[in-house]
Amino acid sequence: MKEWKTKLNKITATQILVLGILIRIGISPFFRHPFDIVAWKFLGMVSYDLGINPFPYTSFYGPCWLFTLLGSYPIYLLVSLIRPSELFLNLIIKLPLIFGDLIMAILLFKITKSKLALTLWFLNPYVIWTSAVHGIFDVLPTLFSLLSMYFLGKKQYVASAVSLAVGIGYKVFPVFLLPFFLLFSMRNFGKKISMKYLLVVLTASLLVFAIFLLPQNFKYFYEGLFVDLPRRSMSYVGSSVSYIEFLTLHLGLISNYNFLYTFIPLYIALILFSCKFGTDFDKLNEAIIITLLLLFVTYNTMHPQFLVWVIPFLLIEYVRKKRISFIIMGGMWLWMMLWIFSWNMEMWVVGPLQVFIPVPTHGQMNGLLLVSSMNFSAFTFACIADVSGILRKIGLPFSKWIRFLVLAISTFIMDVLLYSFYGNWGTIIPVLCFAVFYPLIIVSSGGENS
Amino acid sequence: MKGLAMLLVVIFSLTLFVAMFGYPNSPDIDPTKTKGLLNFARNGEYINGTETWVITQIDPAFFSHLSNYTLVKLEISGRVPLSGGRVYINDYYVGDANTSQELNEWDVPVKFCNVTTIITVVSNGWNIKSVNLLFFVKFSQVPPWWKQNITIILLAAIAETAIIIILARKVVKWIKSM
Repeated sequence: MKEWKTKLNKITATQILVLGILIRIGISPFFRHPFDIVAWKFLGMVSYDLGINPFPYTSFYGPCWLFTLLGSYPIYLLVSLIRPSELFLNLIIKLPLIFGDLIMAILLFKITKSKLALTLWFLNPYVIWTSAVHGIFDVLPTLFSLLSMYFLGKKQYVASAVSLAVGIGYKVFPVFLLPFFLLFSMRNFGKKISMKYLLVVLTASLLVFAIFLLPQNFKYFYEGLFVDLPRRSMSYVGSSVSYIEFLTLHLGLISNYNFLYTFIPLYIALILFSCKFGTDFDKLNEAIIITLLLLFVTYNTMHPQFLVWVIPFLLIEYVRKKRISFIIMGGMWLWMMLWIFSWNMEMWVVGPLQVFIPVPTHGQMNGLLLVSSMNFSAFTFACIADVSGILRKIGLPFSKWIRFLVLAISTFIMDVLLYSFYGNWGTIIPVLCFAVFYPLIIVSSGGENS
Repeated sequence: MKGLAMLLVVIFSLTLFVAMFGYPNSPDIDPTKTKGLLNFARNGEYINGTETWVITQIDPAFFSHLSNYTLVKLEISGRVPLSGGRVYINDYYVGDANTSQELNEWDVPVKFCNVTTIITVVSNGWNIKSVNLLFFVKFSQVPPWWKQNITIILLAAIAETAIIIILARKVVKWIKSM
């Protein structure tokens, strides 16, 4: 470990950044998400070839990604006058994401002063996979959330509020961070500034979403939020908490927003907890991590790229407080890699290994997804426990082995039960993976770094 | 060392350039197969007399520069009574319902429709389940809008390049301060 650290010290941050950029630019043209990039291209065609309003096709997200996309597209169009190239289009669509990865790396370095954090972000195969291979834009809302936290730490509350609003303009999840930012500003800058902060966030959000308030767009925004989104992705479940919701599916009670029933009580508890204890930058970071992990375990659909949201904050937590062990980070990475590479979940998750794996039937898919999502959520709970120190605060007389036994056995039993209901022999793979990695993860929590 | 690094970067860029532009690669959206750009769906009703459905905020582009390349289809599903039913769009007669079919479809001339389009059905006993007004565009035949507005695209590209240069300068400053 020491030897590895010495070697890393010899490499400059600039060299790491150059290497990361070259890797990304080198692979970007040759890969793409089978559905999303085609959808982005379709948006470009609708806007620039047909000259019609693209909002009916994107109301599901905030407008910022569309703005980013339509901003990049003209360069592709101009080059296509000479020679059209789909590979070049892949690169053009991913350039803002690569730029986002780069700024995030620099920001992480500025916050932590750690080359390790910078490396774990910028040379992380999972991050590269999400931005440069799949071309999914989750790094951008994450970047603006981190920027918001960074500016808040620097007492630049207007910049912080605007960054948060832009983040919300990409994806909705940063909105859940707002209460913690308000609490932080209230504690550190007083009530007046806190009110101003809220006002700036609301005004900036209104400006960002203004285009949706036009009469021809509003109905698509409304339909996206209240018709399309509740109906989407109900074919599979992303967490063990949602498993309860999955059962209610057969009663016809479920929508994509049902996660709020479980998320909101836990979230309110977290806000109340933060009201009492959340005073400094580290507590704010911790609250953000827990909020995002809570979303992961309660939201109906867990797409692999969602993990990008939390990685920068986990890295800050690790570097500043040494509380998340390397094994947890490694475990998280391995787990996601297994998830991405192992199964072909129709169009949603496609890895290079998919050609070697037969497409599972619907029943098999349910089995695989339920078991893997159970494991994933158990793992996420372990992270929550580790980050927040909840297990220690309860005061149970446990050693790390008791923790391991209780969590591992209970989750294993749940897996077996699920397997017996839904599974087939294919589901034994995640169970075995779980048996290997889960003990490592649990044993690592409560170790020296915990 | 610096020279070698520069050489490697140049080789890398050239290889990438050749790989991207040197070999033919086919687009995976076949514009000729892309259909059904917009679908305005409405819930049905039991008709005893006259009923109307109003569709608003249809993109005006379909009636201006895309009018020659747009196909409009009206689909009405539901059991038709023996006495039949008549369908109008903006007071233009579209057709009669076929009593032997559960799903009736008509190709509608684009000029019948407008940004606000009113679908009217006259019948005694047509139990309509759904009304769909679909807009299709023959992608392959449309002269790209951006080629006719190349100045805007050029300006957009220049503006974007300027923004990138400003941001890149800032990023380089940040990197140098690391």
